[in-house]
Order: sequence, then C-alpha cells, then structure tokens
Amino acid sequence: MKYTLGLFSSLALAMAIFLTGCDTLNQMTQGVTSAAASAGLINTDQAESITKTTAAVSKTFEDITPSQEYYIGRTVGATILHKYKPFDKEEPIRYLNTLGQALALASERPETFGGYHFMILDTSEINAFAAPGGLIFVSRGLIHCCKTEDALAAVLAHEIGHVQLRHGLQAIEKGRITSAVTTLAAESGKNLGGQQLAELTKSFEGAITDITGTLVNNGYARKLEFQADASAVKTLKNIGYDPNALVAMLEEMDRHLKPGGMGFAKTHPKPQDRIDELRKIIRTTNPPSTPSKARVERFETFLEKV
Amino acid sequence: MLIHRALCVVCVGCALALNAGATPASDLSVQVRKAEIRSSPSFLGTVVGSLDYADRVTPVEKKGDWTRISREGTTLGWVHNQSLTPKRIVLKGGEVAKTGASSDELALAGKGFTEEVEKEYKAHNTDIDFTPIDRMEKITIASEKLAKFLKTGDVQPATGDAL
Repeated sequence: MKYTLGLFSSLALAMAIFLTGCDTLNQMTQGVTSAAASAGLINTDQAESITKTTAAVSKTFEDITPSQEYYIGRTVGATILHKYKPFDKEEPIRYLNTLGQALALASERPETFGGYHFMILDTSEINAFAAPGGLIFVSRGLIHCCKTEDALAAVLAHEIGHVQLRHGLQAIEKGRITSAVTTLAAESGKNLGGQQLAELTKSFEGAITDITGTLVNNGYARKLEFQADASAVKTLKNIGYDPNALVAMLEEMDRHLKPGGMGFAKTHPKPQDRIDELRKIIRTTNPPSTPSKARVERFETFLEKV
Repeated sequence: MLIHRALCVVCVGCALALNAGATPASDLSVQVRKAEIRSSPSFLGTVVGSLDYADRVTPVEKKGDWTRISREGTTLGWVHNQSLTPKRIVLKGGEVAKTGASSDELALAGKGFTEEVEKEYKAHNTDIDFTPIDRMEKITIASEKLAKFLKTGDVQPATGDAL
C-alpha cells in the first residue's frame, strides 16, 4: 500500500512538473521557497531572492528575443559612443576584434543575433561596457592597464560574460518589457499603428535609459560582476589563455583606481573583493604563465598604437 | 528496493512520454542572423556550413551545449544550443494565421523592438549617431583567421586542437 501511494505521488509530481506553465512555476517557487524558509533550510532573504530571480527570468529573459536584444544593443552602443569618442585606427581595432571574437567563440554563447564586435573608446578613463547582444567597448585607459595579451583577453572575456548572461537586459525595469511584449501579442498579423509604434518606442527609450544608466552611472550588482568573472575564467580556460591574468589585471587596476573615483571605480566592486571571489574558483595561485615571444610582440605592437 | 527501482523506471517513463507529447514535431528555429554548422560538438569543430535566421531544423542528437541537426532528412552537423529556439519565427505578420500557433509559441520577427522602432527612436533622438555602430558591426574576422591568430600566439585550446 505504501508503495502504491508512493507510485501515485511520484506520478502526480512528474505530471505536475511537466504540465506546469511559467505562472504556476512562479507560484510553486514561492510556495516551495517560503516552506523552505519556514523549515529553516534557507533564510528569508535567500527565499525572497530565489522568488525574485524566478519572476525576473520569466518576465525578461524569456520574452526578449535575440533580435530584439540586438536592436536594444545597437542603441545602447550608439548612446555610449555619444558620450565617448570611438578610437579610429584600423589595425588595433582589428587586433582587438580578432582576440575578442576568438574568445566569444570559446564562450558559452558563441553566437548572438548580430555577432560580437569590439571598439576602443578614445579616453584615458579606465572603463569597459558591454551592450546587450555583443557590442563591447574598452577604453584606451583600461587597455593600458593590461600588461599582457592574456590580461586584455581577461577583460574582454569578462565583458563577453555580461553579454552571455544577458546582464544588460536585467537592468530593464520589468514593466517596460510587459508593455512591449503585450503589443507584440495583441498585434500579431497586423502592421503597427502609429499609436502602437509610439508606445513601443517609449518602452524602447525607457529600456535604453535603464541599461545605459546601469552601465555608465550605477553599475551592476556585485553578484553579477562576480558571475561575469566566473564566466571569464571558463572562457579563458577553454581557449587556452591563463585565467590568473584576470587576477593580475585586477591587481594592476587596484593600483590605478582611486577609491570614490569615476568610471570603473564607481560602477564595479573593489578589485580586491573580485580577487577574493576569483580565488575561490581558480584553484592555483600561480603567477600568470609566461606567454610566447610572438604573443608578447604582437601585444606590444598593439599597445604602441593605442 | 527492487520495487522502488521499478517505480522509478515507471515514473521516468511517464515523464518522458508526457514531455514528448508536449512537443510533437520538436523542430527548432535559428534565432541568430547566421548560425555556423560545425563538424563536431565543439567550437574547435570545423565550420561545414551555416544557417540563416528563422531556418527550421530537426534535432537529431544533443551533446552538452550542442545539437546535431538535420534538414529534409540530411544530417548537417552541430549547432550551438543558444542559437536555436523551440519557437517558430515568423518573418511576416501575415504568416501568423497560417501557422495556427499561439503567440507564446511564436517569435514574430517584425514585432516588438525592431528596425522600425529603431527608426522611430532615431527620429526622436537626432543627436545619437548610429554610423560608428554600423561600421563596428561590419568587423567580422573569418574563422580561419581566428585559428591562425591563436596558433601564431601559441594559445592552445583545452584539447590542443586547432580551431
């Protein structure tokens, strides 16, 4: 009898899992997390965070398609280039793109709708931005903090991590996504009317403001920066660059960044905090390995031109 | 103990049957502008072809982050999972009715944040220049050049193979 009951409850659970939709999943998550919290398995903060994450996933990641992400990213990129001048030298830009596109290929999201493209920002400010969909910007100031190609690879892999994990899209307020997607569902089969286009554009403008505000002024939550670092370590290992170069790079930045300063210092956790987190995933504490002569020389040629 | 194991098998069987029932055809759509097809389930696999946005493919086998796909009965190679979606992508609004699918199952290429919305945004924000972004998007390095770059710099991917 016991086994029969067990069979029915297992079957019921299996059916529940396979038949549940997103909304029900959210409700289930809330139920399970609050139960876990009351049982003392997790604390209430953790329970709240799990519930919030599930809601965010079902409202943003699922609903923004890669092609929509691409258009958001283009405008975020154009807005960044309104604030920072692009550096217009073909050869170093080509080198940066070769390195960046090779790294992207070894990442967990090798292809985006429009692909990964890299640009140098003509500023001595130490900074880097990743617009959704794979447009990545690195300042001359940050490039000059890199002592090796491996260190620059680490910077790019971190930015690719933000794209891969769709962090930019997470900065968009939930309400905007809902209204944009509602227009999509309600209007399928027809051309957009003037009012709908105006509403969509308003949502779009709001999304751009949310993302650029986060990238330029507020920064991502520390947790997301650590996630991008972890993703960078994976990509660097996959392709064959030394992940310890990320630690070396952060140590170098720690020497350059002024506490309370603008740019990177304002929008990122303290380099030492990131190093402490990285130490948990990079088991070796070796100094970065010595790169080959050819790698050293091409990186030096690049640096001289930036 | 034996009964327990048998029950587990039954449960898994039921779950699989239900899951299969939910997605009968289980064809996938390409959700990126260009998806490369590789000879093996790795970024190190040779590029043997490519697929375009909204192309429909049939999954044959899954391995980690990669899916082996076929079209019209011919197995073509491996595509990264992130470049595929179970949603059907409809390029024109008028085609929606023909699919008989609900809006949740569709990713309508011509709706939401699109080129049309970007155009409208540009009209409102004339100070934002998209020319450098258009230029930036044109920079694409061929996979053979990426492989050569890694080889020249003695950057050895985990398996030690060429790209």
